[in-house]
Amino acid sequence: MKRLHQLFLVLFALMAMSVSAQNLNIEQALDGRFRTASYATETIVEGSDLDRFKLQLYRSVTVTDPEAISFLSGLVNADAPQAVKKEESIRQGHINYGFYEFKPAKEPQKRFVFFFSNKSKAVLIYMEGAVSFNHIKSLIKK
Amino acid sequence: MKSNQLTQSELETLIGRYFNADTTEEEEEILRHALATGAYQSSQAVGEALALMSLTSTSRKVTKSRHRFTYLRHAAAILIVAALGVVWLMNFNQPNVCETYIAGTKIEEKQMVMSIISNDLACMSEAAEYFAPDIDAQFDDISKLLEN
Repeated sequence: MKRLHQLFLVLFALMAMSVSAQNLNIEQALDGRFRTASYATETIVEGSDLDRFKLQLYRSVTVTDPEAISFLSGLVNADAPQAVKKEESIRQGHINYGFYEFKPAKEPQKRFVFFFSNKSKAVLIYMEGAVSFNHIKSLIKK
Repeated sequence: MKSNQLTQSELETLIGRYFNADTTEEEEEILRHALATGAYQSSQAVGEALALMSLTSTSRKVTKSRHRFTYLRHAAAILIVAALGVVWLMNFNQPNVCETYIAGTKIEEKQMVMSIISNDLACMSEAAEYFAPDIDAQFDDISKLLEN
C-alpha cells in the first residue's frame, strides 16, 4: 500500500505540473477573436506538420487595424517582464520588435513569442517546442 | 439446548456429532458459545473443537480481508490507469491542426498555411535585422553598466 501511495503522489504531481502552467496575456489574442476580422490573418498549426521546424505548436496573428495593433502591443508589454530570455527594441515606450522565451507550460515544451509592430501592422507569433532560444532564432534567418 | 446448560459429557457428545457433520447450524452455534465460555475441562475433543472453530473463524477473517484487499487493488489499478490516461491526454495526445483565417475566410490547404508561416518568419527576420542595432546598443549599455 505504501508503494501505491507513492505512485499516486507521483501521478498527481505530474498532473498538477500539467495544469499549473502560468498563462500568458498574449493567449487572449490567439483565442479566435480575430478569425472573422477583415483586417486580420490568424494561423494555427499543431502536430506533425511542424516536425521540420521541431515545433509542437505554431500560432500567429497579423493585424492592420490601429486598435488591434495597440491591443497586441499591450498584451506583449504585460508579458515581457515574465520572459526568461528576451531581445527587444523599444522606441518611445513601444515595443517595435521583441523575441521572448517563457517558462514551459508543459515540460519540456518551451514557449516562444515573436512580436513586431509599426504604425500600420503588428505580427504576433507564439511557438511551443522542446527547442532552444537559438534554434528559434535560426528559424527566422532561413 | 442452551450453551450454559451443557454438561461436560453433553459437550463432548456434541463435539463428536460436530466432527461427524451431524450437527445443525443452531447446535454449532451452541457449541461455539459453550467453547467460548471456557467453562469446560480441557480434553482432546475440546482442544480439537477449539482449534477447528478458531481456525474456521480466522479463515473467514482472512478471506474477508483478502476480498477487501482485492477490491482495493482493483480500484487502485483503475485509478492509476485513469490518471495515466489523463496525463497522456494532456501531454502526448497531440492533434493535427493546420489552418489559417484570412480576413474571415478559413483555409486548410497545407501549402497555403505553410507559405503564411514562411511570410511570418520572413517578416520577423526583417524586423530582427532592422532592429538589431537597437538590441546591440542595449547590450552595450548593459555591458557598460556592468563594467562600472
